[in-house]
Amino acid sequence: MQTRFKPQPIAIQAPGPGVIPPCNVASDSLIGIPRQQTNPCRWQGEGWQSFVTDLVNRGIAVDERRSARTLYQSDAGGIAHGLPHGVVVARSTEVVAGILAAAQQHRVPVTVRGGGLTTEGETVSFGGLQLDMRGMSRVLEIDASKLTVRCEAGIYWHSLAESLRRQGLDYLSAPLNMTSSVGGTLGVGGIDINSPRLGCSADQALALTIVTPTGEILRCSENENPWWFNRVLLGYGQFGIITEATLRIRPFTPITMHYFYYQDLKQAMEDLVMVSEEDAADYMGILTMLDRAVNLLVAFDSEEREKEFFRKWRPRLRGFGEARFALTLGMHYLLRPWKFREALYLLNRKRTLLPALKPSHHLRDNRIVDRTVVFSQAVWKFWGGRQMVIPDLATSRGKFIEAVLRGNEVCRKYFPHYTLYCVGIKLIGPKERYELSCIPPDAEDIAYGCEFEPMLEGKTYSRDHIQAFKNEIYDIGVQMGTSYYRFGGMMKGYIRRVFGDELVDKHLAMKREVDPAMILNRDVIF
Amino acid sequence: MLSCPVWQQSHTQALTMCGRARLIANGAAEEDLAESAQACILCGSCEPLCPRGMDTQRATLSLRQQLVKRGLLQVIGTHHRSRQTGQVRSEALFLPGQTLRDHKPVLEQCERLLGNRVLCAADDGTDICHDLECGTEIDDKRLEDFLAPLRDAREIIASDGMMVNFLSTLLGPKVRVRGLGQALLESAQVRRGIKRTDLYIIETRTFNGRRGELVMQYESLRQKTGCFMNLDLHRVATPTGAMSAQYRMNHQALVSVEAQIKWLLEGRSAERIVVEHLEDGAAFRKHTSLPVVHLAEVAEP
Ligand SMILES: Cc1cc2nc3c(=O)[nH]c(=O)nc-3n(C[C@H](O)[C@H](O)[C@H](O)COP(=O)(O)OP(=O)(O)OC[C@H]3O[C@@H](n4cnc5c(N)ncnc54)[C@H](O)[C@@H]3O)c2cc1C
Repeated sequence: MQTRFKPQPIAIQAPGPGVIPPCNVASDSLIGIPRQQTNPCRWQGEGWQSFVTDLVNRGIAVDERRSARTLYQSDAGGIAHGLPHGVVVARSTEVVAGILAAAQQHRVPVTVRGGGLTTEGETVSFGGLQLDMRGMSRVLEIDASKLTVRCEAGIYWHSLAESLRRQGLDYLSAPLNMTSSVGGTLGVGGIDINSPRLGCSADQALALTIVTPTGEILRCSENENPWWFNRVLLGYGQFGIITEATLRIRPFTPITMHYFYYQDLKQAMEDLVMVSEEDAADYMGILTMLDRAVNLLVAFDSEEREKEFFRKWRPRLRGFGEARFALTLGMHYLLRPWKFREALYLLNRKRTLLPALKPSHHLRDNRIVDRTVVFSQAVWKFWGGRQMVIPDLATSRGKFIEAVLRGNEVCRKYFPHYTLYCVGIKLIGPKERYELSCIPPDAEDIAYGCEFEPMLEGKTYSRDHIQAFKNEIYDIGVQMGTSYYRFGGMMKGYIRRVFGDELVDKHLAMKREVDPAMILNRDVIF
Repeated sequence: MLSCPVWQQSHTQALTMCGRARLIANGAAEEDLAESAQACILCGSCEPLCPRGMDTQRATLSLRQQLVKRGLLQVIGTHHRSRQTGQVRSEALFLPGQTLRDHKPVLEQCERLLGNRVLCAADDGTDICHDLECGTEIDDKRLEDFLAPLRDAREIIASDGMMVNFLSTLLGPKVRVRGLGQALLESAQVRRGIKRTDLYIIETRTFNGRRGELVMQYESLRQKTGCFMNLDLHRVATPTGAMSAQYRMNHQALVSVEAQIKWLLEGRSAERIVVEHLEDGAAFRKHTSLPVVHLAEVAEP
């Protein structure tokens, strides 16, 4: 049941942690869509000075210059804006521990940021301290025989890849965006096109060094402090800060890539599910131009796997090769001349995008070298911008197709051009790790996700237009009982509606126990 | 930011081009930009990756100029004006720069490889490049004197990347301006001389400023010879930092050349260093015991 929201006076004082106050912004701007205030009120700064003095006594300098603080005023989403009172660039686990101990004592909120690629303001401080983890970016140890790497958590995946490549090694999977940090990614999940085989990035972690919200330094893994391990992984920075991580790695391989084109989104999704569940390829995902040119991409680390795919699975795929697809699409638009603008858009997009996915300087013997660089460059070039609008849904297999088809309708309604990016996520961790996370509770074996990304193309859309679009996508999640890749920050109002009070209260109680003053990433989830 | 040596060594966003751009967009005061403008070594590694396609080197140079003018930035040091001994006019001119002139045998080898068609200019404009890099105003008359013979040329080869970029902008598309490395690599003798166990150090300012144009030339050289190169995964050239005014003038520098060299060698079993610019060579000589040669010296007879 949807209820109309009644305007409320603006709350001057920040409400207690864990309490979501009513929205005070443009209450009638989203008719029919109930909203709650999710952009937190600014923390008023009580105790800040004694906190800073305490840190100085511990040998930790806080940068309070306005210029330093403005660097953190928003995240990749570009919708939430806020300023911290001060900034510290973390340089060691001990510094992080000192900060959290003092923050707990002085009740000062601490917002942790890695790459800051969140889109709902999760890494934006509304007062308090901003802790930039990227100062901890060293690779500490590469063990080529055990295929593991130990690194500091603020390191970008790109920098990690650079070090690993010098030894002929590579990480397993990471977001297709190399300016995300290892710690931030382990905290939210991390999905790659090999996730249907290898799981999310968080599941690559073998051991962590964390700092608890009260400033204790702990080592944790499946065998050592497993409760902490499973709470911090996929935990949105609620239960601790990751300062070091030991990850699984693998030998580096160039890949071969193939694209199959569909006009029918549903068919393509069915085929994606089939190749994912039957482990037919090493990498697989769907990338679309609107819902007209749907591209199922598959890629392989080895020739054997590639050959096997073409022998066993290719005959079952309903997608076409490029030439045949161009012909059918051409026919489609010839019969619908009034849609010539759409046809032109697709043609132009194909002309610019496809070469960017196969740049000649990254090709050797027709294999792509450094696919992560190729993809992340293309992601920024073709989908990036000052404002990233990428609401998503993460579902079980049974709900995947309906959720994407419904989301697709929402995209069509709000934007002339958009992309859908779908991929599977193998569940290889223990169930309790996935509780209250991007992995939907009803998923078994492989979960599926879809990002819905409008092409803003330099046009200015009102904040409410964008928010209304995102809310409509998120509402599908509520109605269908899915989860979201990213569900913190401004969309935290959805958390209770999606996961239910019982589960959220269970986690809130755990949070209160380990973080009595609720200082760590306080407005992200609770 | 990913390839920026200042970022890699400091992990402080405000000191990078990306940080400066954000600070400016956020309305930062000029004095808040001084430290960052001074930290940059103008290697150009941010340029190929800039999501907004900015001419980042030019942006930093003009920021430095502005800051120096307002007394907010200390000039790194002054360079004495290059001595001119008349003017050389030719269709193809070579500006070797002072360092190469000080190494006569290497210079002669370069000239031999470039051929008789290319004449060595009398004036390298080294002082102009230095002033440009430090943000000092360039005297109009001096600039005009320097440019006069260059305007008649169809082709200019310069060993200093800053000069290559500067002249390309000033002289426009009619004059083909190239780096010494690209010109020497046209010689099969030179290409043949590069071995699988070499670490080839590309002069970064020219390469990064024109990466789109040059990347395939170097990538195919790498594939053919199997040598190591100072290219990162993005195919952006990683600098040693030795070309920067801060290093040349012994000025306090954020980017440690020693750390850069250590990183360039990490995990690479290089047996010899081949450099396109002698300043890089000198830095390798200082910090390693590996043999170092200029690209011109590898040419096989
Ligand atoms: C253009 C674009 C493309 C993207 N593509 C993908 C993709 O392909 N796959 C994918 O999975 N995601 C993708 N994302 C989302 C984004 O990459 C992930 O959210 C990313 O992994 C976050 O990493 P980060 O370092 O930016 O973390 P941040 O955004 O800085 O932080 C994420 C959360 O973790 C917390 N946190 C940060 N560091 C730590 C730490 N050390 N310890 C504990 N908590 C911490 C923060 O407080 C925050 O709540 C994309 C985003 C954008 C903008």
